[in-house]
Amino acid sequence: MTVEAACPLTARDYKSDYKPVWCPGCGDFSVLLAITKALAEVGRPPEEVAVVSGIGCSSRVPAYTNCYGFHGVHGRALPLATGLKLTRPDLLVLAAGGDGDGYSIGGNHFMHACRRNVDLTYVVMDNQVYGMTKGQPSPTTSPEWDSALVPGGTGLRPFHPLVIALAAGANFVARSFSGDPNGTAELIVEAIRHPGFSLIEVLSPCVTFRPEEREWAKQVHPAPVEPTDDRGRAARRVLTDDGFNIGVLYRGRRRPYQPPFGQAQVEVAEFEAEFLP
Amino acid sequence: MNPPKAAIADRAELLAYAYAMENEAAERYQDLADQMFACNNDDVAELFARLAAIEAKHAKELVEVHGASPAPMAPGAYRWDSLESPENLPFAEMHYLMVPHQALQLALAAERRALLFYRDIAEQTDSDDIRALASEFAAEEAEHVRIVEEWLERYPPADNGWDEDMDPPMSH
Ligand SMILES: Cc1ncc(C[n+]2csc(CCOP(=O)(O)OP(=O)(O)O)c2C)c(N)n1
Ligand code: SF4
Repeated sequence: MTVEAACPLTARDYKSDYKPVWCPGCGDFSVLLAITKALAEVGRPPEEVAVVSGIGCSSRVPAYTNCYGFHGVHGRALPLATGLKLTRPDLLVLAAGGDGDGYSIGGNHFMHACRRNVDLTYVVMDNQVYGMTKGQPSPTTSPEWDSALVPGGTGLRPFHPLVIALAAGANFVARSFSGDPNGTAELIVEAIRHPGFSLIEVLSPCVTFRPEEREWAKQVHPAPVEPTDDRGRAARRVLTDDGFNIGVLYRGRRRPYQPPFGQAQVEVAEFEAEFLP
Repeated sequence: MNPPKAAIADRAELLAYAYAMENEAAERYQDLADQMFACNNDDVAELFARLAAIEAKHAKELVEVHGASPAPMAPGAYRWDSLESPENLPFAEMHYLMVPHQALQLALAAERRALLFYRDIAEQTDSDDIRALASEFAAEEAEHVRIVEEWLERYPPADNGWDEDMDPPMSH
């Protein structure tokens, strides 16, 4: 190790003064730490970074960072992030949120963000539940999860975000576990540096509505195989693994989307005028 | 628990690990204090805030007295034997209704891990300089262990049903 290789920014430089109101024990605390560690490692100062989210406990992340932030509308983190990145390609744009926000109400945007392959990093804190609205099942909830709100479970087959991301064209796909903030930070760094749309699915327990998810700490394990650049192989692996393989699962080679060069820019005032009576 | 013997190559490296461990512990205790204040668990919050101050003082001394660099290495560059630096209390261990005794037991385990970390380095190294420094840090951690043990005696263990909430977030 070389001490000279140390980077001057620290995770603390990316934290705001707002104190998170998450439940103690929530996985999202570690994900916030991982995001701030990753940003420090990438080394772009907070004013060159934008963190964009939708709605949910996990979507509160922008308020807790010191970067530019946009706490948007439920399910709309990705269209906001896409628009921002296309108009301000100089910014490092990170989208963050939950499985409800990203895969339920935002599911359509999720597929098209993967397809467009704009150079964004999307961190999904998947707790397989809607935490903020008190425990409804989400698209990734297992069919038999029994609760007062859904006695006997939904009986519905869960959505498989990583396979859908691969099929739709995401260029980097990884899975991590919130209990390993350093490992998660490393994956976020790699995702940021990888061109195009990168998805990091973080298994992040909701200790209040899914206390049994504390057990994930014992279930996660490093992916037993090296990452592949073969989309089909990655999808097959993810479909057949136990859901707890951690690491980079796919590194693609697609060129990120660039808006057509030389297209006339529309001034905001001009655009706004179209909506005024 | 420790990075392998060969990992601690010189004094600068030991200081880099020591600073990372003490600084992360200080930040973690402060984060936990903030969490507990946010859910009105003031007794536990105050204990964590006091522990944060002790660790922050230690981290500051590492820089001011020993010349440690406060710049972090890349998150993956630290070869901790555990998922995080040994002196960190895992976020996942927290509960909004936890009592001081439980909080202090977690803190005691963390301080003991830190003590072992330095003690192992002191025992494994071939360098007199690293041994002397690691032993000095181990003695400081032993003092932290003693403080937490003393605090623990002042608080009764948790009752059965410590986590019962008369107004739970959701009834299952
Ligand atoms: C248009 C709209 N519909 C519904 C809601 C209610 N709502 C707020 S957060 C949320 C689900 C959040 O779940 P998830 O994204 O998994 O985040 P978590 O709270 O679990 O982190 C819902 C349905 C809303 N805010 N806006
Ligand atoms: S409700 Fe669940 S997801 Fe929301 S803060 Fe609490 S533990 Fe975290």
